[in-house]
Amino acid sequence: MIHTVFSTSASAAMQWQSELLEYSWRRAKQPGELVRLVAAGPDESLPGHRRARVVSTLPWSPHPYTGDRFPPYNRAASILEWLFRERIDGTILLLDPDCIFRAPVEVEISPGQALATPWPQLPRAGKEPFGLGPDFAFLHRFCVNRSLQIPTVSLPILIHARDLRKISARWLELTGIIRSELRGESYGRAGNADRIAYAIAAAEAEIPHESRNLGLETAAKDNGAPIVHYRGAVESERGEIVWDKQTYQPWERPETERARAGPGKDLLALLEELVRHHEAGGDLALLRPRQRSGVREARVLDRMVLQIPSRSDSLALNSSATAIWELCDGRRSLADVVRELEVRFGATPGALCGDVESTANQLQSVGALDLDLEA
Amino acid sequence: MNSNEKVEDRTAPRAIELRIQLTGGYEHIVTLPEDAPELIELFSALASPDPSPGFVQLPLDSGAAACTFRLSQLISIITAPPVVVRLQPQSAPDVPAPSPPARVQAPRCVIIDDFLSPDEHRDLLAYALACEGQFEPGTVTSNDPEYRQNLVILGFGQSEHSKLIQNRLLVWFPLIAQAFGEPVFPVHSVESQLTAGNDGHFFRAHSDSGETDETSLRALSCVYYFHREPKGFAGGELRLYDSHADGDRRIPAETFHVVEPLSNRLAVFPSGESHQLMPIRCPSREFADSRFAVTTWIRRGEKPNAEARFGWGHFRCGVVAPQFAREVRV
Repeated sequence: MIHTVFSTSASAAMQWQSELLEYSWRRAKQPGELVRLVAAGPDESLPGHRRARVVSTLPWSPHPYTGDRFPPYNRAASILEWLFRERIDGTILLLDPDCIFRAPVEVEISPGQALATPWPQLPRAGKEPFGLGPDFAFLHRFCVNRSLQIPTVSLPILIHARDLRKISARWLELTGIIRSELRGESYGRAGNADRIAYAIAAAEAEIPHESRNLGLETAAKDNGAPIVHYRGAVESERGEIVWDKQTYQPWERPETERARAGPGKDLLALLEELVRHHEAGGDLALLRPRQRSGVREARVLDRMVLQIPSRSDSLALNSSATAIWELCDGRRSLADVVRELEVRFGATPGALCGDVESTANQLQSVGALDLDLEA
Repeated sequence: MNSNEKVEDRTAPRAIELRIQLTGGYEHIVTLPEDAPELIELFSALASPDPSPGFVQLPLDSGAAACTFRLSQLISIITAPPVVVRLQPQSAPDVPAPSPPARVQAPRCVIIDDFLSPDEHRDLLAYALACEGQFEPGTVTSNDPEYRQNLVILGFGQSEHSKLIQNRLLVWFPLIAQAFGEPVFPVHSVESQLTAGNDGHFFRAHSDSGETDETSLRALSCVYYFHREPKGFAGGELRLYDSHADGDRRIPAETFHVVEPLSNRLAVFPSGESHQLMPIRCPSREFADSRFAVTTWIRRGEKPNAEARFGWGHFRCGVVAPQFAREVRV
């Protein structure tokens, strides 16, 4: 089981990124579950998702004991809480919310090993503590073994749940220590405090991390990595900024054709596809319901009755379900089915979305229907 | 219990099958847990010299149906397995009848394995072994040697190792409070001691929160276990007792749960829980084979203190952060 996990606040600004990640996760047919950890205050409502499981966690930014505002505290804190509350086992693929899948990550990880994306920007001075050099001399007071080699890696990370459980409290603690000791700094060392803290916590827990090209930046030379991390802007061949997550308004269509070929262009193509699907009726446009082969129809007292090979009983449909069933031909999308029925019954646009989707899901759950995802 | 370990559970009541015979040749078969109040009610009615005026309602078909009859209709009850009934003497008319037996409450406890990193764990063990000469017999407020026998370093709270454990513990603190269904509270202070238990050592059943100045503020007891490998002792388990609620008080029951003192494990429980250190058997009697533990008590502040610093000195836990102030999620 692979748990793909990302952490956000409950702010509306995180929703489009989360939906884009969710869309790419489903489109890539990434195995396992998708979990969105949401650091939500008591007055904040939780976002909804169609596929991702939303888990509410306590917010740690501002830090409850130091008052320091630093959103990455939420990542370690949410993971700590999630793994404390749920008996999660298996592989965890840890992502930032500004990531998308281009292809599935199907590697299962055993305890005691981890794969992670190289992070060449990790400060290296070749001296203790941890090879970070004198700028981090304060760590001597808080770390027992400062001669450990720390992994020069960052997200995305593939790690076993038992190992992440060992790391997360120390990760959160060290992030707070580094930020407190470097107070006054906002960028550089302090801005990377959570990544440095993760690397130290992993080394202390004796969990080696092998570098693997799991993710790459939008401007990076394409190396076939399955994940794109769009921290930076997408540029054209001439170096002009075509798209930037900082200024993007959902769901504007991006100018995909202007982007330089590579991961940035792949990102915009995916975003544009999602925008078009939103325009065409949202997620229902992605699903193509198809009657499962072997299901036999019969009319009993003017009612449609289905005989499903996997069931010993028969399923009687009412008139609405029958109308939906008859349109599930594998060619129409669920959005097409909705539109046809709305025209047939004179319903206002969108009025039947919920009923049609719910019926299709029920037919799928009893084995009568396949809900194929459009490739 | 928030634990993935095996715990001993003797609290589950047995299921008693009752064949209830009523006047007129009627008969009902019902199954009740042995601590069900209805059981007492039925036998009390049988034992009463006068016809009982009330009625009783019993579940049938796992609660899908119920049968109701007057207690005065009761002729006999056949139980399987046999039940020995010791009814209270009849109450005087002006004294309320004894209340039905209270439900047993399990102790609250959170277990965190791999609490420290391997190097931190090794470092703490090396420290404990190096401090052998500083350990002295532990005491209790009554000074009764039959109550507690183990060795302790009382000044451990000032050490760097104590700060290391304290700092890590405070990261877990909001989650532990949440697991106990309680809001995060302002921390008054944190005290800790390092103990070593060797052959024949024990600590009889007690709770950590008392009425003295030293103990009254204790809210959470946090025990970190460590020992050298291979393990040189047996026993030394933490026994946490179930309890009955009696108003605001919790009366310890005879049943209990057991926490194994695995090395690098932290066990946290509310300081009011009745608990016991089971006797330790250490055949070598070598100090290095002892069962070591750092016990840390988090003391609840009666009023916020924004200036108090904890752990390594970065954390101000004397006030509750706004995001933790209102809600308990369980």
